[in-house]
Amino acid sequence: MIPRVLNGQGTGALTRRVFIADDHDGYRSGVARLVAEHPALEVVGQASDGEQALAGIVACQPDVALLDVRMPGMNGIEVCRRLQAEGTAPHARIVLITGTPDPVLSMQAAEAGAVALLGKETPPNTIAAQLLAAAEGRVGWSVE
Amino acid sequence: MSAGSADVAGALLDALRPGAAIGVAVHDEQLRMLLISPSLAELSGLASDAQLGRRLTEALPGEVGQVAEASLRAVAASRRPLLRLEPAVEAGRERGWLIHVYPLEHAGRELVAVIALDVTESRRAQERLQRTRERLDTAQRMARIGSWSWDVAGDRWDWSEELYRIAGLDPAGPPPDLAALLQATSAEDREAILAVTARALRDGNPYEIRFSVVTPDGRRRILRGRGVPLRGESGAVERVHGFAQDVTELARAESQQRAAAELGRRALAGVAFDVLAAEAAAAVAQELGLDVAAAARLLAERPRPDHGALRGGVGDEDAAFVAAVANVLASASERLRSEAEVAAQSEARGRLVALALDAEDRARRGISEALHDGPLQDLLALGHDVARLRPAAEGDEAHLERVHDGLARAITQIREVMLDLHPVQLQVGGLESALGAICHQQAQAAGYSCHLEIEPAAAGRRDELVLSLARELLRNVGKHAGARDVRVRVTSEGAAVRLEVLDDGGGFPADRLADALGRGHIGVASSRERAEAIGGSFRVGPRDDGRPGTQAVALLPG
Repeated sequence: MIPRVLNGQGTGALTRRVFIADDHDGYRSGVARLVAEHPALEVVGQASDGEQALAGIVACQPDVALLDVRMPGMNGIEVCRRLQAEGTAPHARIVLITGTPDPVLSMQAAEAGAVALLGKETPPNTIAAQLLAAAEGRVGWSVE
Repeated sequence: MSAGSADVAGALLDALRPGAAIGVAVHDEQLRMLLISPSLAELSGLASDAQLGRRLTEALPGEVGQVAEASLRAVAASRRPLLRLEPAVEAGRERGWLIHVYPLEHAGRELVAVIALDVTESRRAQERLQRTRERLDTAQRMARIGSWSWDVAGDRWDWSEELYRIAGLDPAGPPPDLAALLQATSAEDREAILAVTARALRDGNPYEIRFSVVTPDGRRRILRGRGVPLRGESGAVERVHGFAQDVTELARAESQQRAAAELGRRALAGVAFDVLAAEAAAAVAQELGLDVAAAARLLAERPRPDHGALRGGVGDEDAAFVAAVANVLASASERLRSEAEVAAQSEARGRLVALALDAEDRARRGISEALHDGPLQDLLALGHDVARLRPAAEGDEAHLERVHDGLARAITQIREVMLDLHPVQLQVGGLESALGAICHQQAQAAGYSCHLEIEPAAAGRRDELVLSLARELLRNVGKHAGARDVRVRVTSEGAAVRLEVLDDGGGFPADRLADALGRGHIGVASSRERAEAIGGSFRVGPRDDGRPGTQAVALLPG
């Protein structure tokens, strides 16, 4: 089990705060490592299901959250919708990631208020770049 | 006779001209004619004057004259009157005379007088009456209507012949009185007859009544009677005229019709044979006045009762009817039972198929989700790990690239297997996402273009089944149709979801489905089973718009 929310401390004004939610431990920890190793990003919290993700994002107020689409309890799109509807993390940008990307899912992600939907096979550097871009408000739609 | 009265007598004689219905003549002791009226003289064809002084044998030729004169002679000798009826043919037409011969004493002489009355018209009237009676009798016999007349005060009855026949009595015998008639009727009818008769005598109004009698030979006849009371001068009812019609056959036919209709209705309602048979026995017995036990025994002998064995209290026609009813009931009952069995088996089979297919769906979904959450994620994570190794893999880049490519292929294959098993997209992205993925996958594999339309209202109701059927149909298109363009439409039709897969391929010959089934290809058959198991329908065949290709439509109740 991972802690419900892992808070991280910012290392500088330019560091973007990232929250990661994925029910697959191996994939989540891999992404967490690459974010942690990125000079402009830091991990401020992680979650392994939708409920934890929603609570963690509200608690951490990250700049960007990377949410797996398919998670137990509440899926990533639903978490995104709730955040939008409740306005509880107004500055957090949401990037969704999925093992089974398709155009319909992209549209649904956009409608839910996410700024991007990535395939999980997206190379680590690209994922990090997308997260930074999203955190800085520079991201367009990308489906890989 | 005075001179005056002699004049009057002469005038009276003259008044009896030829053609008059009365004639007179007087004969002397030698039976010669003293006087004769022209009306009587006409019989011999001679004028009355020419006949005076002649005897009848001279005036009337042959036997007629002799017979007539013999009458005169008999009266002259016996001095007693004689009355006789004399037929005559006059100018080619038959006439009849009633002749009164009597002794006449006048002025010391013993004369013989004749007064004749022409009764031709009266006889004709009687003959007409007789013919009318005969015609009435014939009509009554044909219509099975008998008439009667009741003289209330004298309690005398007059019955027509047909009424005797209807009642099974000898027309030569006396008609039965009311008491005898009542004895032949059933107890409840007896009261009714007494009641209407009493009312008719009191009110003087016509009445109608239906009742049954048992004839002396034991037959039960159903009669419809009508009575018309006639009042006398005192205002009281003195006479009642009426008729009685034998409506046994009609009543029987009506009863049979009613019984058969009711039994038919009950049989269609699926009532068990034994219950039906008991009801039939009671209904038939009541309607036709049969012995209930005999009717029930008859009905119990299914499927082909031997009505010949059960004559007691049951006539041949009734027995035949009951037998026919029993056969019809038995056939209907057997058929209903067979249909019910077939329906039950079919339903059970459909249920089993649906259960089996649903279970298969669940298993597919479980495997697909397990693949997604386990191996797929592992491979995706490994992909990241390989990517991380790249900067450190000096001189080993090619090897690392092969690992990366292998991972990518494995990921693709797992995704395809997942789509074949169950698109996990359904849970998050809904029907559009999942069906879109299936369309994309099948279209890529078979090389056709696939257009998907989903009416929002149709999604979320039968998604799993729609996906399963669509996958099967698209796979068939890829295998058999040689299509270039395929359209998948999911729409709502009332409470049902309609899935349509339309292709522009080589068409679907009518015998191919049977052929495919014969060779053990159950894809389309199982699609049909699944649709029908939930009360829906499935058809596959030529396109409705007449263009080349195939159209498959599944209608799935919501």
